[in-house]
Amino acid sequence: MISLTLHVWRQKGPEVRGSFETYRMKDVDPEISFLEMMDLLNEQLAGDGKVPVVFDSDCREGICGSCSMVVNGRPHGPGEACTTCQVRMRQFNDGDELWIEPFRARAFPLVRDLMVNRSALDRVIESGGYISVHSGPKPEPNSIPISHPVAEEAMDAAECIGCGACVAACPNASAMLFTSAKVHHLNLLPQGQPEAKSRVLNMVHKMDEERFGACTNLAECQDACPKDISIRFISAMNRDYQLAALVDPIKRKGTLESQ
Amino acid sequence: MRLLRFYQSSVGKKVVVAVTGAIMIGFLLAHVWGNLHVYFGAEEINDYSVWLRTFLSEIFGYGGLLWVIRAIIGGALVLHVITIFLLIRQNRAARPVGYKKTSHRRRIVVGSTMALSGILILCFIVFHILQFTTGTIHPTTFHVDPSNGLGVVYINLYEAFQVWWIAGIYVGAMALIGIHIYHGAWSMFQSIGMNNQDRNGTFRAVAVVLSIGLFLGFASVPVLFWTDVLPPPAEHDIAVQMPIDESATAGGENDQWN
Amino acid sequence: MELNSAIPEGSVQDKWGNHLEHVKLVGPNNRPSYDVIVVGSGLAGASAASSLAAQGYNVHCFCFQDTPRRAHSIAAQGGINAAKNYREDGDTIYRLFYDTQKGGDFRAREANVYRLAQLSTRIIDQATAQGVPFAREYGGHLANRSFGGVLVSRTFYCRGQTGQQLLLGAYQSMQRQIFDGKLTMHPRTELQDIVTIDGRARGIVVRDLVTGEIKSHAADAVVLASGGYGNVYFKSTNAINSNVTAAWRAHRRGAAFANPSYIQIHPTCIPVSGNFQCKLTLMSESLRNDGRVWVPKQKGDTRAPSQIPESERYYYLEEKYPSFGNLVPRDVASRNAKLVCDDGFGVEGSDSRAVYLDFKDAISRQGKDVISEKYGNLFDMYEEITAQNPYQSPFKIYPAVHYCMGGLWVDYNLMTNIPGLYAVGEANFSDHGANRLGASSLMQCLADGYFVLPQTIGNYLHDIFRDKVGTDHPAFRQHEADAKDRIDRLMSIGGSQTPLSLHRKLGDIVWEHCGMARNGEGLKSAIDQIAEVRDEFWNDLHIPGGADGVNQSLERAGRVADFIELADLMCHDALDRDESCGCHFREEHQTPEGEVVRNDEKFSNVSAWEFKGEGQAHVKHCEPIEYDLLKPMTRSYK
Ligand SMILES: Cc1cc2nc3c(=O)[nH]c(=O)nc-3n(C[C@H](O)[C@H](O)[C@H](O)COP(=O)(O)OP(=O)(O)OC[C@H]3O[C@@H](n4cnc5c(N)ncnc54)[C@H](O)[C@@H]3O)c2cc1C
Ligand code: HEM
Ligand code: FES
Repeated sequence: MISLTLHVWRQKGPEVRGSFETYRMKDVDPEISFLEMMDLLNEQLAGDGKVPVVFDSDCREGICGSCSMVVNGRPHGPGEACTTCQVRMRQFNDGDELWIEPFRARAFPLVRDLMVNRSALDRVIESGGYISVHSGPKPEPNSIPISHPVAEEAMDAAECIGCGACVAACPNASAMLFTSAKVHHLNLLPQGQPEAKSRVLNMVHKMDEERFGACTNLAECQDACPKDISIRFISAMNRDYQLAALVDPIKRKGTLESQ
Repeated sequence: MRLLRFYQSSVGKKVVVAVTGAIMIGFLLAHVWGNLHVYFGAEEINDYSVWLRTFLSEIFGYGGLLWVIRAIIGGALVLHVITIFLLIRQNRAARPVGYKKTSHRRRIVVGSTMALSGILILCFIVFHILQFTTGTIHPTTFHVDPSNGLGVVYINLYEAFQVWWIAGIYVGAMALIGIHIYHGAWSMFQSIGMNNQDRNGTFRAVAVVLSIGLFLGFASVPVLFWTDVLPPPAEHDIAVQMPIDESATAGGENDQWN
Repeated sequence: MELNSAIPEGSVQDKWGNHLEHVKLVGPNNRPSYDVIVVGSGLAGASAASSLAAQGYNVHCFCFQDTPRRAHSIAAQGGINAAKNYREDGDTIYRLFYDTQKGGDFRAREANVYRLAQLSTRIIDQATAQGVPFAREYGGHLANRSFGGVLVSRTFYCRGQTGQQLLLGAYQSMQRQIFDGKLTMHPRTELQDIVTIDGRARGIVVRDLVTGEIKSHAADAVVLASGGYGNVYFKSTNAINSNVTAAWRAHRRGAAFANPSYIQIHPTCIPVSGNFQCKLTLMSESLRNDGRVWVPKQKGDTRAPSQIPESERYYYLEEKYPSFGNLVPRDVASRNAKLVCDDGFGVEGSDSRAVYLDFKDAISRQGKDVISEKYGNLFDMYEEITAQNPYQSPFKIYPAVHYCMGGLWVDYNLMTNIPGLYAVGEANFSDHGANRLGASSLMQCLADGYFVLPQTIGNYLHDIFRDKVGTDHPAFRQHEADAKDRIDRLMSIGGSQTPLSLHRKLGDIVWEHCGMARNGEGLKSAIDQIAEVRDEFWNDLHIPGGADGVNQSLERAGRVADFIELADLMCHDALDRDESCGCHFREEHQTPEGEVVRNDEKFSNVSAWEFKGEGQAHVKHCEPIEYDLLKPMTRSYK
């Protein structure tokens, strides 16, 4: 069993000022998960007549992307490639002091305590992160073979859980890793080709519009990503964007006068 | 309009930073090549200075090509700095409330201090042009060859680098350039979309070689002058000495360093 | 209450085709004037919402997460079935139907199951077209793996994240419709009540989880895609916020709840450790493809697994079920794990409630790299949680609550007995009988959402053309007031126990008596204990904070209140069904070897329960199950 001192960011709402509150936790079982520890904290607070800490979580197994805390300066806390809910208390030592903060970015307005609004990421997808199909009959999947490595690479990018840790980790609060993962996943596959150009243009523009920062290639996002998404997708998106923005013809109509 | 839209996007801006950075790296490579002429003696470097102006003068006229190159490099520098300024403004605004605690796993000082090293480099560039090109700032005597109105390179360098703090400034500035390029040259490939898992190792190596190579190439000159490894100029070379205020008008034509 | 299953005419094989030819439609020009509400954005909800919006209906979709992409379906790992027969290993639509019906122990509606098998192949086509990166072989064609309870390889997968990829496909289609303005998403919004006017579903009452506001939305049809209720057990593999509230509120407004006690316990989960755990983690069943399940032959053997020689290991599944071996269906695998642990053979730790799942042979046969490519993320996940490396020593596993076959009763069109109220996905009871085969829930959710509902909803909407009510109708005011009252009541109890601690109490009771094995005595005592919890809940609950704004304790309290009522009904249902079938194992009805004994004469029916009012006993209605294509037989996996 370990004891901890927690400094937790408390803020009633977006308009109100927030501050850190300090709580002491005794007898924490090192086998429980970080969020179970937070549940315990909340039980303790409720017992003391205080208001529990608000935080997002759902699947508690690292796939839904709900949980979103910065623990001691690291989005999702210690541990390689995992979400907060996957962190186990055995990672901490008796007497440790933890600073727990929400994801911070202008594009992620705070809702309450550790809960933020990440709908900007949905809007980035909305602007082009899809392949337009209806539910009617489709070609037989094996009629368009996709080589194993390409399918795997698409999957590497598609694994993104949309948690926003990349934004939280980036010194510029940039969403390039998130956006590029979706662009690359779809632009790599043959099914994604018809909309490839407009997809990358619209998604990049939307990302800027949502007030995310720009990329300075520091790879903090990649280090914080619970799914090990690589910044190589950012480079791929940069290439796609340049081709779409500068090379691809804009006018698709009309004839050419000869000289 | 298409270009404007491109430039408005954060990805487009980064491409502009990368391309202008690449132009400046190209310039630095040429520049270091020029500087290394000092190792072959005063003749060599002074002739090089003249060659720069006469090369392809049939087409561009005397010193014409040099002006074209200067315009490109100056333009790149201005564009680089303005774009960086816009990006930094966007990035600052993207995180209005910061973290109490920060912890960075791999982020190296170099990458996160690009703006700082950049600004210092900018200051240096201004100082450098004022010193050797226009001679406006002249802690040491500025020698001009009356026959062609150009500064006499070898002497000017020699005398300047006898002063320890001038040599120090130059070595320090070159270290900053090295640091800036250490991240910048790799970052460039990433920003223009050439990077991938196969090439990354190469690009990182290229950046390391460039940054160390340029640093050693540039910094060796002041160091070797200061330590007297390079010989003092011969007597007759110091013969001519122009009044300083005239030299400013006479051309600002010593451009080894610009 | 009348249950009309509306099964179309014709042979089982032709029913869906016939139905499509005769079902009524709404023309494209009229669709925009219909509002459809979809509650839930999991696979079923997202696929339904995006398809309906693409057809032109005006769709509003609700979920309690901050974005639809986080719905619980995201956690499905193993794969999705389809009768593509890519391996030419004998798969046909009939065989998928057969496997599902047999797997469900002949307690599902044949017509629905057959339709599901027919539609299965189209799901793969649809998902591929959406860019779902299914695993591919080196030749570029789709890869397959096998799952429990079947003799063919028909499961398609995206590493261990099939649910995630399928959901993202559906979610992206939704985002596209949102962009086009055809779909409005209401995240962080929880359903509080269904509004019925003149016996028809006309809208919903919701609570905005950010502001605490109670609001109404009117619509021409309401689709519930709110998922399963496994969290009634407190500890389950479901996402911690999954709940029964939407289905239960509909039930209280008149929708019949079918087979509530059919709960699937998944055999390969990480055993419980410590006493503050509130979530169990599932390891995909696909692990049983290559892993071998065993326990030491000697009780209380404390040696490390690697020290136990081959001859002293009891591979109980392989020995008892030679033809299916480790790939027996889930109910059989779970029950056997429970049996060996009950008999004292459980392995060290976790109160000896665990068995080994061993990859030693597979690794030496196929090499570590192959195993790691197939299951790498599962191995990592296990190591992260338990700090043990499954490449070196076997996994320890134990069954955990996983899936609810029971749910809202629906007819062939997926409409509940309340006209205009539909239920799709795990929230309905339709296709899995008394036990679901692995990889067939994703299939059902997507079949419902992409292909069934969009084609059957017109049948109802057509009839109510231009017959609209708005939220200004007094019924909405009434329902809103009810919802507010309920919240006020919860907030004003002022006791001492948190919703979480009461939830845990409830879960322990249901797990103990209405879990993997049930008996009459236990169920009766559970019913009494649940009544006590209910008393405690309504007299001693403590909800910190206020009802305005975010209050996660209040959210849980509302859910627990409904779970308590559901738990009571589950136990009544389990008690009433005096036979064993599939996952419903009544200890009174078993063979000497501990296999299930059905009573087809009396129980080949669906139990659909009607809510009669607060404090009143539920009333059972039976929908008889007809067997036209496949006569029930003793389910054997030997
Ligand atoms: C760990 C795990 C692994 C699994 N693996 C597989 C597998 O490999 N293959 C397979 O076929 N099946 C698998 N399953 C089963 C399958 O994932 C689920 O049955 C299926 O995803 C259910 O989907 P759904 O759309 O019905 O509901 P869900 O995905 O549960 O979605 C429910 C939706 O309803 C919303 N909702 C619920 N209540 C309310 C309310 N009151 N107000 C507003 N919104 C509400 C939620 O926000 C959510 O959006 C697995 C399940 C688990 C737990
Ligand atoms: C004069 C003042 C300068 C300033 C203020 C400045 C600043 C910066 C900054 C802030 C970056 C951003 C780093 C990033 O986004 O990753 C950058 C990138 C870069 N700079 Fe400079 N810099 C200056 C001069 C130079 C010079 C003289 C060179 C020439 C060698 C140069 C080469 C580069 C390169 C190659 C990059 C990488 C571009 C990219 O990331 O795509 N810079 N600079
Ligand atoms: S709660 Fe789902 S990823 Fe952490």
